[in-house]
Formats: sequence, structure tokens, C-alpha cells
Amino acid sequence: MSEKILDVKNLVVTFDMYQGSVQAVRDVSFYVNKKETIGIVGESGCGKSVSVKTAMGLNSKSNGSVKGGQVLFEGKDILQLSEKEIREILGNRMSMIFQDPFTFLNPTMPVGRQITEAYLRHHKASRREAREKALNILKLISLPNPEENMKRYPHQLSGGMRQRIMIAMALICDPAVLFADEPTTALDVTIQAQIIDLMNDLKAKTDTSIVLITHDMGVVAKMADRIYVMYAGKIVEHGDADTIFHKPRHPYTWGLLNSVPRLDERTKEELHSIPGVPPDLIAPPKGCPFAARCDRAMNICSRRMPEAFDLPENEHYAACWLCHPEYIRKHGEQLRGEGEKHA
Amino acid sequence: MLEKNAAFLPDDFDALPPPSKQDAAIARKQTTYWKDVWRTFKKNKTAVVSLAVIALLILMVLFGPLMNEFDYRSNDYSALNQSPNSVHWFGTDNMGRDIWTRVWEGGRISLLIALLATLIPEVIGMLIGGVSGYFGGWLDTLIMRLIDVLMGIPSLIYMILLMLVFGSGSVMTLIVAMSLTGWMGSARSTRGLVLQIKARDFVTASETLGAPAWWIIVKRLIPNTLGIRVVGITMSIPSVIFYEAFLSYIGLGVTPPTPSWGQLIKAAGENFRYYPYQFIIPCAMVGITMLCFNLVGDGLRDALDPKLRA
Amino acid sequence: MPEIAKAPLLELKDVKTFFKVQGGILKAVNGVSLTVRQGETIGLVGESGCGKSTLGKTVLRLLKPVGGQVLFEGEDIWAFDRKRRKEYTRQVQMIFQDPYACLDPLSVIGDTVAEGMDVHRMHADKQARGREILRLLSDVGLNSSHAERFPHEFSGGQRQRVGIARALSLQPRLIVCDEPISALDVSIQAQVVNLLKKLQREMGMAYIFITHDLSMVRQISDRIAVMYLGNIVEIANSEDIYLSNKHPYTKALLSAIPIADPAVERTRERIVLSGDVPSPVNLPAGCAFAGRCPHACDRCRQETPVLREIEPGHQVACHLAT
Repeated sequence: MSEKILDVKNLVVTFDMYQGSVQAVRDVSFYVNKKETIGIVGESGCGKSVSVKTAMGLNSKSNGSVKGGQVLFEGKDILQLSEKEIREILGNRMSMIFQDPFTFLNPTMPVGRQITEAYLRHHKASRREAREKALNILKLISLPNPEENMKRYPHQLSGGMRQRIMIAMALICDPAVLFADEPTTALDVTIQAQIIDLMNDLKAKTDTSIVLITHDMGVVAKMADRIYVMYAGKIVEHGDADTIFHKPRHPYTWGLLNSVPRLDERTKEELHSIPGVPPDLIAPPKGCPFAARCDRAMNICSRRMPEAFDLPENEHYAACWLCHPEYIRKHGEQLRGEGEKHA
Repeated sequence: MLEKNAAFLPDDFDALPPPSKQDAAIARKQTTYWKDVWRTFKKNKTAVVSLAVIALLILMVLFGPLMNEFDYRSNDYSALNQSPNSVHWFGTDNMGRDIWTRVWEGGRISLLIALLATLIPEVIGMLIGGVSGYFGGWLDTLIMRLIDVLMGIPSLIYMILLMLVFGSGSVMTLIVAMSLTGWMGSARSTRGLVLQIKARDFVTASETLGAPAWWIIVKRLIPNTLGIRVVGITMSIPSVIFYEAFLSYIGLGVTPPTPSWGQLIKAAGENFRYYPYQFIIPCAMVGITMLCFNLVGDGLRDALDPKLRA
Repeated sequence: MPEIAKAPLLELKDVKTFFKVQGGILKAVNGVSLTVRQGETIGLVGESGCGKSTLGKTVLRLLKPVGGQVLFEGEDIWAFDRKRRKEYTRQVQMIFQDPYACLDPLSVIGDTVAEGMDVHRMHADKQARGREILRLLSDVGLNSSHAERFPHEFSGGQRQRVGIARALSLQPRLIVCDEPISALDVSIQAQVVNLLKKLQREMGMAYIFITHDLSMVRQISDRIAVMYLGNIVEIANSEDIYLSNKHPYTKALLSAIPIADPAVERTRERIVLSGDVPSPVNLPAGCAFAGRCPHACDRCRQETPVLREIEPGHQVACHLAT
């Protein structure tokens, strides 16, 4: 049994806006084991970024947005910590890489110094030791000519190199958890492939766990050990990567998988698309949030919110009435593919 | 866990009728851009009070002179230099004219000048800045260098020169003079904004639809600068009021007996030590108006800044 | 696709579009020849900086090429008189990448959709204009109540539909789609691609579909052109690009796309290119891809390969392709 590094329990986050309260995260739980990569998959506005920012202590109970839940990390509840305590953890025990490295890096400072400063912020060390450490990290992420490139400014580097620098800054303190928010979305495909390989490589070489947030099913397929599928502020399905891709049980997961054409399959005349748009989280529907877009919706779906029903595979669960024992008893198991024939 | 035990209705697991081909309804409350701005603006109490004071001032300059029986030019030699009292609410001046009437009558002139002398150069500046920013190239360079040169010389000097040429005295000349000197700032800032906006896709979209340059400048570029320019416009009203007062004070503005706030201050300045109320009241009017417009401008800037909006 | 020789609509002949930048000349489009036939979809695929968007803007007459010709129905678009120029803007339209920037925030949807009709004074009476707006909105799957709303009230996918309606309003013969789906969520991307296909079936216009996403472009394109540093390196029927591609860059590009299946990914052999795309300023001699190509030989570094036909309809610019 591997140990849980980060354990998020029953997180509820809402943001007050003029139009009303946006219920961005509605009772979300997830955890990360040591040396494991989890993927949180969903479309924009599903609450995946908010959940992760909250887990990093960037939304706190004090500003009123976090309405409930616990984030256990190294024996502490992140949500109870003061801003000062959180600053000690961020960049040190937990770090993050973003979609756009250009806005993240300081344009007026050579990247080498930015990496060493990230180290010196949390460690008592001489500049020389920090530089040494930075060089090691740059070699680890296989940046070409590390000595020379450390002297460069962000605008002198290519997009892929900037992304590597950001990863180096995130890794220099050997964090326990690395959060990656759409780390490859802004990159070209050939560079994306390099960065994915790099991150998979790091997984083998370091003890860092990775929380990957993305909308790209291909990227999670390559990186994640376990996958959480999020929709409208809730986790609708969870399982290990093979289960999610081969035995998905939630119609939203089916939809996500079907709407991406696969390169190893022949072209279909019409792409499968999920009709409609996600619900407005100011007034989320009473029943299943996906019911209005689901071609398998039943009466109960609009009446009651389904809870997470456990499924036979390892830790596999889905929040869908099609997985309820009562339904299965009556109609049998619903698997991906049957829905399309039916529709 | 309550739901697990709850009994199911017989039709619970029957399929819903297929979703009708409805497009997602927009559930959020409808807000237009300006409604949203107004909502943020309302949160700034100082700005709202200032706006109310400006409204009151406008009402008073329109109807104030009608509230007593005096008119602004008739003399009453039996009542010279009276302090404020129940008949002459703000007192009388050294020719026995009612100051209440003259202050509001003067305010009408001052505010009219402020309004026109702000809007006219603003429109000129927007068009010139829009053309300069949209076309770019040598035309842009030419216009911008011209503005650099013109702005190098203090505008007051122009104004005095122009007033000397046109002959001072009439309200119209004052407005024309201010318009001729005031457009440069607006042109410069509009050009800067246009340079940003013209890179946006909706401008390219207009181009690909075959829209001519004037269409793009007038329908796409200038309206999108307005939101930001409106702060500048509000903020420039106080300085125009001040210029008018100043020019009248040095004898280049409105000539007597037509009152304006500057004119009133000038006339009362001579007897300031004996009859301070004659001086203080129009000064206070100028001060309050300038302050209020500044505060409203401040509130608008916050309301229009998209980064500050929730 | 049935092999009916459709008449060419747009022909690019050795088009070159350069920009002056600090330190040299950026050869964004460096001698591209391409034919778009009536009613077909050409996918233009490549990574950022390969010149695909510049090529799109050149076709739209937004950028003037320094060399070569762009012929629309046999006529050079840069030799048009005023009247033909205006006519051309009706026949060639554009759909944009960023659904947030492509709509004027101050115009209601109806006015945005009608802009082209207003510019060309197509509807003198207000009622006809209103009817046309509603027809266009319903064509793209929006409803009549949307006409009076402002863009910020819409989601990204809905805005993209508005942008499509605007492009359709002038009944164009060719639409340049510049990354129309890359800013959208996956489930919405499929909606937009299906919509574009449906509209093409109904109205018969041609598309130039510019994208970096090789998996989506397959769904919509009849032919696909792969671009690298200002040149087309391979062009073929859509399925041939996927199944019998010849250029090493095309192979690498396809292999870089992760497949949404962990079991396949674990065993898949991939070509990961080293290094970055070189700057298009001051390109070296020879094949532009030689620096990253796993098969590059001396000839590649000296002699620039030209597009040559290796199978009917399949052209490759590589010395080694057979």
C-alpha cells in the first residue's frame, strides 16, 4: 500500500459574484500517492484548476471562497495554514508549472538567476551551491548548453526551452508534489512530445508526484496512472488509466473519448459531439449536471443527483445512475459504444 | 447515504425523451457593458455623491436665476455691496446686482463652455488620432510629429494668441480657441488605443468583409476607445473650467456684463478684503465643480477598468 | 471523395510573403504553390511559425506577397480594380481562432452578423435584413433571441458560431478558417467541425482549414498540405497523409500526437524530434528540415528539395522520398 502524499477531502469552493454564487467546486475528493501521476481531466470551467489552486492553499477559508473540506499534506491541513506557512510550502514542497511560461518568468532577469533564486528562497546555501544545484537540474531536464542558456533572458529562448526552465524552477527544491496546469497546451506538437517525454522521465528519476490538469485525453493517456474526470464542479468518474480508457462507465467520459478522433482509426463521416454546453454553476441543476446533454438520460437523472457508485475494477467509481445496482439488475451493464448504436 | 435506501419511482429508470434541439439558454442575469460599469460605479460612494452634486449644479444653473425676481444685469443703487440676506440670498455686488442670479447665470456660461470646449476638441482629436493610428506609416509619423511640436508650446500661450486674433469677449471665440488647442492630447491617446485595438480580430473581420477605412475607424475603432477615453474627457472638464476662469480673470475671456464664474471672481477680487463673500461664492462654485468632475472621473476609471471588475 | 476534376477556384503560384525584421528578412511564406478547387477543403497543417497563418492572410489580400501570384478564378487578385476588389471580399471570407477577440464587444450579435451585408448595402429594407440575420443564426444553430445580445453573454463555442454566421453572410465561395477550433473545448470542437461540414454540404464553398491539430483536420479535409518553415513539404489526399505519408517531418508530426489510449501508448514506437524549429530569419541552405531530420544526408544540407509528384495527387519535397 503506497502512502498518500496529498489527500483532498470533500472540497467545496464557491465564488461570490454579482450574478450570484458560482459553485465552482462541489464536493471534490482526490488523492495522490508517492511517485504517482494523476490526471484531472475536464473542460474549461469544470472546476479542475480551482480545485488544484485550493489544494495549493491559494484559495483559503479566510477569503470566504472555500466552504468546506480538508487538504491533508505532510500531516497538515493546508486550508488551516496562515499565508506565511503556505509561502514556506509553495515552491518548496509543492510547486506548479503553468500553461504559459512567458508570463511566469521574469523578463528582466537571466533565467539562471531565476532558478537559483527559487532555490535560495527556501534554502540556506551559498550562491555557488545554488548554481551547482541549478546546473544539475538543467542537466536532468536535458536542456542543451546549460551553462550558456543560464545567462540568457526568457525572450531569447524558444517556447520549449522556456517550458523546461519553468520545470527546472519547479523542481529545484525537490517538491513532494508538482502541479502541472495544462503544461503542454501552448506548445507545438513536436515540442509537446518532448516535454511529455521529459516529464515521464522525471517521474522515473525523482520522487515527485505529479498532478496533471488537462483537457487533452491524449496527454493523460501518455502520462497519468490514475484519472479523475471532472464535470460541472464534480468528479464524475475515477479509475486507473486503463479502466478509464477501456471500460469507462460515465456517458460524459464516453463523450470525451468519442469527440477526439484517433489517429490510429479510420475517419468517421460525422464526429461524435456532445450537444449543448455545460450548465451554469450559479444555478446548477438539481439532478445530474450532465443530464441535459446526455443521450442516455433517464427520468431519475433530472430528479436526483447520482452519487459515486463503486464498480468492480480497482477503485473505479462513476457518478451515474446507469451504474446504480438497481439499474444494472434491470437492464444490465451499460458500456461505451452501446449508447451510440442506440442513439 | 440517504439516497441509497430511498425507494425508486417506477419510471425512474425509463429513458427521458431525447433532449429537444434547444440551444443552451443563457441563465445568467443580462447585463450590458454599460450596466455593468454603472453597477461598479455605484459602489464608489464619493463618485456617486459627486455625480449628484453635478446634477444639482446643472439644475441650479438652469433654474436658479428664476428663483428670485432679480435679473443678472439690472442695477439697484439702493442696495450696493449688501451681505447675503433674506432678499439677496448671496448678497449684491458693487453695482447692486444680485449675486445669486449672477452666480447661476455665470455658471450656465462656464458649464456650457466647459462642455463644448471639452467635447469639440475631443471629437476632432478622436478622428485625427483614429486616422493616424489606423493608417500608420508616413501619415502617422507626420501627424504625430506635428502634435509633438504643437504640444511643445504651452497651450495657454496659444489661447492668448488666438484670443488676441479673434478678439476676446464672445463665448463662441472662447470655445473655438479652446477647441483649436485642446485636440492634441485626445488625438495622441486615441491613436495609442487604436494601435492596440486594430490588431484585434474583429477589426480584421471588418476588413475581410470589405469595409472601407472610414467605416472601420468610425464604427469599430473609435467606439472601442470611448470607454477608456471617457475618463480623460471627464477629467479634462475641470481644467477647461479653470482655463475659462483664468482667461476671464486676466481679461481675455467673457466680457461684462455677461457673467461667468471667472468674470465674477475677477470683479470681486478688487474688493476681496471688504466684501469676501462676493469672491468666495464663485470661487467655491469653481472649486466644487472641478472637484466633483475629478471624483466622477476617478470613479469611472475604476468602473471601466476590466481588471478591477468582479 | 469521387475523383471529379473540379475547376480550380484559387491558385497560388510560387507565393512569397516576407517581413522585414531586426537582423534580416523573415521568409514567412517562401514559394508556396497550391490549388484550391471549388467546394473542396484543404487542410493546412504545421507548427507555429511555419507560415500557415501568413499564407491565409495573403489569400485574403490582407498581406501583399513580394513574389508569385495569387489567382482567383484565373485572375490575379493584386491586379483587381476597385470593383473587383470589393467583389472579392464577398467571395473570400475568414473565420478566426480567438472567439473572444473576433467579435466587437460593443455590437450586438445581429449587427455583427449583418456587418458584411451593411458594408455591401445588400438589404435596403430593414425587415429583409432582419430576416436574413435570423436565417443565418439558425443556419449555425443559434436562435432568434440571440440577435439582440452582446458577445460577452455567450460561451466560446457560441461565439465561434456567430463568427461563422458572419462569414457566411456574403455567400462566399472560399472561407479561410484560421485555427477555428483550437481555442475551444474538445466536446465543442466536434460540434464546430460538424457544423462546418454540414454548411459545406449545403452551400458548396471551399475551405482552407489552417490548424496545428492533425487529428481534427483529418475529419474535415479532402486534401492536406503539411508546412514547415514557409514551404509545403507534403501534400496529398487526406487519408494518404495518415496512411502512406512520405516526408520525415509528416511522420514525426503524426507520431508526436499522443493517442487517447494508454495501452497503445505504452507500445507505440515514436519519433521524437530533437531541438526546436529554427528561426525563419536567415534560413540555412538546403532542406529547412535537415537540422532536425533523422535521415538527413549531405545532399539535404546543400540542395533545397522541391515538391515532386510521387503518386498521382501526392507531392513530397524530400530527396529521399520514393
